[in-house]
Amino acid sequence: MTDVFNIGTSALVSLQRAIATTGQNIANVNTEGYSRQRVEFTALPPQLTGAGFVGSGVTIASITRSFDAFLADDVRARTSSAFNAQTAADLSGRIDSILANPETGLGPSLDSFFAAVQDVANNPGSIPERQVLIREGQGLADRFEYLDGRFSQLDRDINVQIADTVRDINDIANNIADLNVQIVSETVRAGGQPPNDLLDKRDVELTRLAERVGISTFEQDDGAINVFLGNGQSIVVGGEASQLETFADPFDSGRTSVGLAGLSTQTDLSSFISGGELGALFNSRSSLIDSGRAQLGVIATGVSTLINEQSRLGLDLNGNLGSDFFTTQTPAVVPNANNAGGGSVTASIVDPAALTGDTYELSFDGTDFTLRNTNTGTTQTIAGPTPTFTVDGVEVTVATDPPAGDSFLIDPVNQAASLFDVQLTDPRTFAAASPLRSGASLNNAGNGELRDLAVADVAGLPLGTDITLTFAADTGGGSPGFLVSGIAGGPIAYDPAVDGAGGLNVTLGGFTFTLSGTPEEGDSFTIENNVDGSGDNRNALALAALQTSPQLFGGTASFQDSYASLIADIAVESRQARSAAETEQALLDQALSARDSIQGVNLDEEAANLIRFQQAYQAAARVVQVADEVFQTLLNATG
Amino acid sequence: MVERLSTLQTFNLGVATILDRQAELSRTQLEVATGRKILSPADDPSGAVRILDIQEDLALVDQYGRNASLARSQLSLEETALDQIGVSLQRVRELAIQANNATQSPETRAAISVELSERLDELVAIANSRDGNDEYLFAGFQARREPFSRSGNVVSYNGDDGQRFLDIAAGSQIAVRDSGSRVFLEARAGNGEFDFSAGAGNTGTAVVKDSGTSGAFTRDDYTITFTQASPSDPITYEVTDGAAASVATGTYASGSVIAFNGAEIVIEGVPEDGDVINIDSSPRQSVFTTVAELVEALESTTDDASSDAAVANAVASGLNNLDRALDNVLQVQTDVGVRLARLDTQDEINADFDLTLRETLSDVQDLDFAEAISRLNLQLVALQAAQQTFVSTQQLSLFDYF
Repeated sequence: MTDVFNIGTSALVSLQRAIATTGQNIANVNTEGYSRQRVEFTALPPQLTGAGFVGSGVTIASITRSFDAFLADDVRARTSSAFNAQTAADLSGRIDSILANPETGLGPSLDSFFAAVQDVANNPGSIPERQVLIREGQGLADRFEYLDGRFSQLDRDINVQIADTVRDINDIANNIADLNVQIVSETVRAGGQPPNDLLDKRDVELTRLAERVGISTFEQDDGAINVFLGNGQSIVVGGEASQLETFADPFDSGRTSVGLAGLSTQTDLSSFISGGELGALFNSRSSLIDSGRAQLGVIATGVSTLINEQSRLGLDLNGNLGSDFFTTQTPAVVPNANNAGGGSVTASIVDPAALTGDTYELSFDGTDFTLRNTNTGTTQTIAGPTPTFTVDGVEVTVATDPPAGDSFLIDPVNQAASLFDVQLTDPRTFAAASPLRSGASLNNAGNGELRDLAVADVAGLPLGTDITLTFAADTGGGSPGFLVSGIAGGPIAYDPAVDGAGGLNVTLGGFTFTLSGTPEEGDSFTIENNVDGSGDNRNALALAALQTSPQLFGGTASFQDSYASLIADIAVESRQARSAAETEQALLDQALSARDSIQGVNLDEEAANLIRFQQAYQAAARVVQVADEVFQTLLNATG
Repeated sequence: MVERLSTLQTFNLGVATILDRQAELSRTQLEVATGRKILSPADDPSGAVRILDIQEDLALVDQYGRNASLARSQLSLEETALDQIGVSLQRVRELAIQANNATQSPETRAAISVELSERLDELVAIANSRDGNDEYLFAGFQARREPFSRSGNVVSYNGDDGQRFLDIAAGSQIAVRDSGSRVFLEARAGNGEFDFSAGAGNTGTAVVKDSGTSGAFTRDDYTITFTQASPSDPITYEVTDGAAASVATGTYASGSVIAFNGAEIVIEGVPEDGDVINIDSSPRQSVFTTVAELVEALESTTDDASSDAAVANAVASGLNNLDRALDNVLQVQTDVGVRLARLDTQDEINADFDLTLRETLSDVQDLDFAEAISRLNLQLVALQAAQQTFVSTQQLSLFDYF
């Protein structure tokens, strides 16, 4: 009789647990990371009787969670990718929308500046136009500064975000380590039964960590999980969590790197960091901000250098040779913060067209220098001591060799946009005119012409004496040409029959001109200083021509083209990031859905289970009742 | 694959769908509100770049338009000045012809000389014309310096050969000025090949009636010297070149052609022994010198045949020179006219280009409203559908049947 009782009560107890578990599932239907739990019934060992084995009831073997480690791993990996893509999309979207408004872009400022140059060309002797030009130059400088400011604002924001993310990572790593300790001890205490809710909690923490940074995990036999950054640096081992910390980049104190806390010399861990928010922050910093700023810097350097070069070839209203319109751009040479010191390295821009926007790291081994392009990774060896060399339009001079092991970062254009400024203050000193003018003698009988006089080099200007070119059928060697007085370089061979129609381009001293037509014996031309040439606009026209001529990136792009390609690069990047974010989100949704189809609570299912367990419970109660009644019957009969 | 769905999943899925539909709707709403299909460069990177390109081109076309209208006003100003010069030179020409009339007396010639002198002042004043910016039109690059100054009958040029250009289209420039030397100084004297003048000491009545060339003229300065040893001898002439070498000789007959080295000269009247006619291979002579020579020739004349001949020679030479000067002014005028015509053509081209650019810009950036509105309606329907499905699926629960 007692065995029937026992069977009934074992069923009642087990089914109560089962109903409680169903209740727990229903209660946690909205709990993040909760895995639905299942009661595993098992029959109690039977008793041996003469008739054989008689069952002795039911018990609960285990309460397990519905969990698939593979799916959980997949969710973590997808979470890292999705958060990475989303963060990248957010960052590029921010830059993109800053550049979205054409009115606040570089284009209108460039247009206004060059329009002002044209206006000076239209009326070179007038002061108001020149004042407008200086103001428009200032406007251009402001716009460069504004755009660069957007990039550096984002750079600072990223520093803050990196610091925040690193703090989160440290927190979560500590939580995981703590949970590891608890899981190991609880598993032991429960005799091997899984501490389901702790495991769920740890999975949630792991997913939270995966949001911040790409991780890989390895589960130990005792149930603890080890966590690694990417596939390398461990951050949780059993109950121990390593702490990360941020530190300033040795070449750029305004830039944050990540390393392990508590080490005497900092090692940059960024090579281990990929995926998650942190990966996107590092990646966007180089692909978006650095390259965007570099392109902007190339444009700023190009505008200032080329305008200055042409300005210096001109003549201002005071009759002086032109001076720089914008301040000169000097490449930044930053010594590594860990340098022993003592070296002297300087750099200057020699060819704006050759600028790429790349940065270079120059290191010294005691004998030779190694120049590494930090964007492409290519290196070249430069023989010491104290070399002077040119790389991509930048001339680098080592005046004093540094101690071996020191290194320098050469950043040709990064500061160019922020330091872009107008140097000219007096409108009269804008060089609208050209320093020389030519004239034909009124006694010339032929139709020879000297035209397109242009200055390429101001050395030797202003002229000490006027230059006269006189045509002679025989310049001494039996051939026709121009005798030259006033400057070395004559005679100029010129055969009207050959050169007359097409014209002959001549370079004499630092200037060039074209001779054409058929001069007669004794016809002469003069080249003289352009004294009082207030009506001359030739240099202003030459400056205005810089607007549309392809001057940058190897002579392939005008200023505006270069800016347009900056916009295009960022737009494409942003567009790709946007679609990558959508794709990754879809993949994450799939992974979550796969996981939840195993792990998630379905209320209808739980309702069905409730009915099932309730019915079984009622039946078990009936068994107990029947056993009782049978027992009573026996008592009454023997009573 | 039949998959088990968790309750939270169904819920999240429904909500996510609604949020997606709302995002799409809001995007379309923004497009309709701004009228643009590119809200940020990432929406259409190549379109965004084209917009930048077009906007630069539009700014340039606008600037070229401004340059062109400035060029037009400068050239019109020059055209007016050139017209005035033409009128003034015509008047000088009339006065010269009038002065050559046989009925003139020394007094009336002197009066004409005075008027010619005033015309010279007038010409200098026109040559010193200024534009609205106080720049001299005919000064070359030295636009703030008075280009012409008269001292006595000598007018000197202080400017240079500089010519100002403006950009009127990409890679296309137009000259908006002509230097004073081009307009006033460059005309060749005489018939274009050579000029003549009677010797200052001539006592006869030889007058050059006509001069021209036949074949290639050998450029040099020549002198025709008349010889008549005694009044009964025939008058002979000898032509010598710049090196005093004899080029041609002959017996003089009034009205017959003296030809040498490509030059043909018709002389009438009776030269005295030793009278000379100088032939200068065409130097350039300024308009002012031409007028000043007439002024001087008419200033003090006497009432005799040789003085009449001197006047006749001076006027004949002067008329030649005036014609050259007028030709030169006309050339410049034609040139200015051609430039103005070019400006008109360029204006049309620029206007066409402007229109094309604006159309392209509109194609690239402007929204197709019909399409956008129908898209908006579709998205509204989709949103409503998502909301309805969400509500109805969420209402289904087994617990309802407990």
